[in-house]
Amino acid sequence: MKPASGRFTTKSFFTQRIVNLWNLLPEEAVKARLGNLTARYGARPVVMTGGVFSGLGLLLASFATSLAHLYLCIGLFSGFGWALVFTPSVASVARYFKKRRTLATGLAFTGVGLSSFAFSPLFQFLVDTYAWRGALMLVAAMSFNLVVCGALIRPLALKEDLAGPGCLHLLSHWPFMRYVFAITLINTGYFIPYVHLVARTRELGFDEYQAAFLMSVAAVADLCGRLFSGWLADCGAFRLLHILVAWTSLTGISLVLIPLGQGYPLLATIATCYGFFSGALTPVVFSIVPEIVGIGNIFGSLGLLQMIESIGGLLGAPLSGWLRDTTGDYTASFVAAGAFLLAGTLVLLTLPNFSSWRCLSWAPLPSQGCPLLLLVGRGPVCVPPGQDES
Amino acid sequence: RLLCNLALQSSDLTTIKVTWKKDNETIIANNTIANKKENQNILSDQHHCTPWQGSSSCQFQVRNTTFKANFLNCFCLFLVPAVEGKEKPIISYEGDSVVLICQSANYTPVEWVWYMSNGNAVSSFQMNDKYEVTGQHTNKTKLKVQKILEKDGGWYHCQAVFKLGESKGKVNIKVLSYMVPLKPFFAIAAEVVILVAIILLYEMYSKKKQTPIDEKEFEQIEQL
Repeated sequence: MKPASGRFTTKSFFTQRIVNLWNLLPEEAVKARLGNLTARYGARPVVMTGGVFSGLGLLLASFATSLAHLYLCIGLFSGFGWALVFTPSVASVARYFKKRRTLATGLAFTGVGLSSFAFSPLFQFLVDTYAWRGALMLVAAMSFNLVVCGALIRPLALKEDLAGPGCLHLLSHWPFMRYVFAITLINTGYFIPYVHLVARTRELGFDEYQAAFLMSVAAVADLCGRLFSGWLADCGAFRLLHILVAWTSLTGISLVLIPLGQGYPLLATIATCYGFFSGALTPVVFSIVPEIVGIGNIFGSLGLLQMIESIGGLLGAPLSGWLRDTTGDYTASFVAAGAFLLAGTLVLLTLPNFSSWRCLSWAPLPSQGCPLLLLVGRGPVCVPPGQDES
Repeated sequence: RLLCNLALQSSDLTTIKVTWKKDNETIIANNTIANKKENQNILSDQHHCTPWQGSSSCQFQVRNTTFKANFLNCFCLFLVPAVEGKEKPIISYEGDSVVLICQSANYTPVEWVWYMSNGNAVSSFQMNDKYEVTGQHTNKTKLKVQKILEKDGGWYHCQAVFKLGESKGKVNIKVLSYMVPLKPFFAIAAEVVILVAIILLYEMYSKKKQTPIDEKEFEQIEQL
């Protein structure tokens, strides 16, 4: 989920980011409640309602006569709608798929990347033909297709489903809360390049096309990262937690390295790496949740995770803007972003059973349809505590 | 700019002296051009910023021969700064206010005149609630048209009047009615309704056909 972009005349980056992200605030506020709603009514009605709200908000925004009107419509209505759509959809994917959960999540998230690609020129075309009012109106119509997507989510009854209260009992689930804290830290740094990479590229003196190309390259890498990570995670050779730690630390390192990219090829390489690793960690973040809290709690836990992690997202960009204002360039911002990611990684290391799985050496690897492992043949095989090796 | 062109067939590759004179007064003397290739025309030109009238001449001296050309009643061309309008049409909807901007780089004109495409001078319009012109004496002028109607669409011309000449720019406005985007909007909304109906009806239909195979299906999905 990327921050909305807009055009502002203020020169202060801090102000820009605050104003940009204020749109997201109402959206995040409802996410915890959704766990409750979804558990009670099922994913389908919630997603369909969300689709209606998001389209409605954009439609009302197309009639806006003031900036406040725009914010309220897009931020409140559409934001609410998007919140209603996102969490149950991700949760439904987790519920439907068990063996290939991460790959399914990764595939689902590729929609984000593909639509980013298609939507940039499309939106430009819409604005050129219909001005921003007409463009918003048509985007609202396209958003209504979320209702169609919601209709496709068939209700599923799992034996682990709890009929109990929503998500508040999860607040006392200590490992889960540690996980949420880790993801919040990660979220604080995660979005920085999306808001600041273009500006950083321009700051170094490159023109807007080069900057846009950089973002496109990172987006393609992001897409590949999501798919690769999904496939790798489901191979079963490594624990999801270890994989997540690997991706988050690599993302943090690449963020810290971004300020070192002074020349265009080097910057492009580092940006590509960032794109790949950050894409790779996304599906794992969500597919690991059932391992921690169980699939029965998936709606409530994802809602809670989303709500709390977005505090990080909301704080990250203005902080980065403030650092830019005080230090004069983006070096501090990117280093801080990388530091947050590495801090989150450290918290992940404290999760239970991180190192208590026993890893045997050089046993035949279970292939599970993973050609990579077939090639390797033998390697470390990890089993959870209490389970004997087969 | 005055240009002198000497076509020389000689294979003589000596240096050639050029002299420019204005009204018999020498401006540039003995400007030498050396080692030109055979059969190549020799060019010499003279740039001036101040206007002059009267005659001027340029003179080529090749060894002992002098070639002279006279210019009578020379004039200078003055380039007026180009006025920037907008190539892409501005799209607006009926009832909106539109601001048209014309810029003339770093040069400030004496005044700006706005015309509409059919030739009426807008700045002399008395309809003050509809048209408003700002920046008359700066290098950026704005024409604000309020409550725009469909017939107000078309080309608007801004003319910058300078001391030495005039320069024009143009801006295009396209006025759309709300129906224009509403049509595709309703088309897409209809598509959404139809698809949702199909999905839900298909599901109800297949549920009727389903017997205890129901639970097995869900278990299979669970194991995916």
